[in-house]
Amino acid sequence: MSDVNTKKLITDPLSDNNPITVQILGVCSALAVTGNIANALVMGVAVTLVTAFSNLTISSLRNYIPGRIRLIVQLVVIAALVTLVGEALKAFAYDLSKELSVYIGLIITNCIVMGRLEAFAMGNKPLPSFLDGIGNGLGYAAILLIVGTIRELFGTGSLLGFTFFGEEAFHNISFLKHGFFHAFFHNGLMVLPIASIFIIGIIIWIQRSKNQELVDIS
Amino acid sequence: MNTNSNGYTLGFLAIMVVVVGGALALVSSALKPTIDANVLLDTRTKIMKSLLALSEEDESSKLTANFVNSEYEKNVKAYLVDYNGDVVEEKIPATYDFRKEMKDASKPLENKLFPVYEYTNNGEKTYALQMLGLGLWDEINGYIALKEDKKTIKGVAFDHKGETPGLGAELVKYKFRKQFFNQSLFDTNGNYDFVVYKAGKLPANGKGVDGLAGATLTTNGIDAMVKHTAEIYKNFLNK
Repeated sequence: MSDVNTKKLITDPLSDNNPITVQILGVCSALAVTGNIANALVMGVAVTLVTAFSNLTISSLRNYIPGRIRLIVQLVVIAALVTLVGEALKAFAYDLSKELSVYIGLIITNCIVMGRLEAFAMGNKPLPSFLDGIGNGLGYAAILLIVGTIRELFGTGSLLGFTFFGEEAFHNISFLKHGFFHAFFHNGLMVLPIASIFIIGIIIWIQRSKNQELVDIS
Repeated sequence: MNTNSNGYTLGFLAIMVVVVGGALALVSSALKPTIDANVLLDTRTKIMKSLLALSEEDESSKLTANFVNSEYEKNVKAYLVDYNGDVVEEKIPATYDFRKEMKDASKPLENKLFPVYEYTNNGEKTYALQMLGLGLWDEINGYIALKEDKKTIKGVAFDHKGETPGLGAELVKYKFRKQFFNQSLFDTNGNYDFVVYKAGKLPANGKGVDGLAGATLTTNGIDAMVKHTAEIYKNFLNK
């Protein structure tokens, strides 16, 4: 395996083979947990870990897994890893685990994870599979972060909990107290998961207008 | 080796179950003490938030794990009262679960037990009562603390399982909670007189809490939850 290929395993899913905007996988959670940046970040990290290590595990076992039960084996590995991530969050970041609650468990049904196992890990060696998992996890996290940033900024006027717009913005800095930052009204639509559909749609549009090869004309 | 034979498949499954099950059990038991401590601290923080009714700055700076635990252990007395308002258990047993108790349909309200967290500060008492209700998507819960007269609200703390972020989930925010502070749950005749009203629809007597904009059902859920809490604790509050 050449170095160019190794690099492509990580960089491809970030743009031309992005799991959300090109493979159209994992859209459900991209709509649900992108209300603010902190949630998007933790979810991105969690999915990256699960995808990478499930790819590694399945790829190491690929020659021993009986063909007839391979989907069951894949699911067991994913479910076990997701449970580990969930327990670790509860122990070391309790507030975040409360906020993400059901969505951590739902990583099990995130199509990216199983999609990569079937499409890549079952037919490739452990190291490339591991990198493919990391690449796809990062590609997913990148979209989540973009959507999360836009939604948090315009929905609640803050970034990572720090308020930029609205009546509470800079309330202890006198020369910024009035004017531009206060004239902003929070956009209620951005708070709802529905906003993500529009944002992801626009990202897909921009990406395809830049790279015509991605346009499916069939 | 034939990896498609029945024997191989069954053997593979058996080993996989043992390995994965063992690993998960190991991790779960290793992390259990940490998780239990987190849950306990979270509960105590909510109780102290309602009892102390601090300012927003103090809430974020003072309510550290050490402060909450030491203040709770030193000055909070937790006990169970029955429907008549009499103390039946001087300490809340570890087996007691408020959620289970409230949802137990086979037990009439008159036979249920309710927790009270009594906080003493400079000789003055404050009582935190536990609340449980329904929001838009799932359960909402929290604590409401009443001053020594058992009528005036000292503070509140809310939590939820799945309210919409930015809308219903705003119930945990200080801006919403501070509206409860120093309001009376009852009128001068002792009748329940408190409402969490739909945004902007102020009742004629000017009393109550302005609900969450864009979250009518969560607002209604909070209103019903506070009312229900006053109902189940009414005999305790009249003592």
